[in-house]
Amino acid sequence: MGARSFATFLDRADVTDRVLGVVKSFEKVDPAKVTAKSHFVSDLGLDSLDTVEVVMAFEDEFTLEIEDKEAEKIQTCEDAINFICAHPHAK
Amino acid sequence: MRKHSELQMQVLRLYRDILRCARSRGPEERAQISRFTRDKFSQPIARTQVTRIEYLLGYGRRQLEMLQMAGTKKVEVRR
Repeated sequence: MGARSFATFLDRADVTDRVLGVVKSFEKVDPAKVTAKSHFVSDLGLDSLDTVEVVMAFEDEFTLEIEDKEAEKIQTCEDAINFICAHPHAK
Repeated sequence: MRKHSELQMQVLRLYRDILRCARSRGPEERAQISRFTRDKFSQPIARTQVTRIEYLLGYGRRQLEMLQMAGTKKVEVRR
């Protein structure tokens, strides 16, 4: 066995459920349209300010802080799921 | 999707910084600051009005500094 890592990663299915839940509860989003593949702007009709707010809502949900550079890359539900699954401190 | 310009990125970063700052306040104040900020940032401006946007960015950053100072309770509205 190699060196043990104490980082814990969340289960992808749970992360997916919670990410979709956050997006569905965003007031400007039609919950019926939300899938893991949804693009915030082109599929869900959000604008760039909304996108900032959604990414901040992910931070609240998973108790983490996403750096500007990373936050700017999150444009779809899938981007968020990938980021959070790879983040060792997400709760 | 068109990529955002550097100026747009700066605006979005300021928007995020303000919402982050609001998060450190109580829920009511957070909601109030967020609503106020959203309202300000939603006002339409042509992307060609670069000087005006830069001015507003500077103004917004100073407002944020005020907000970050302990004890600042309210943000002044200037039209």
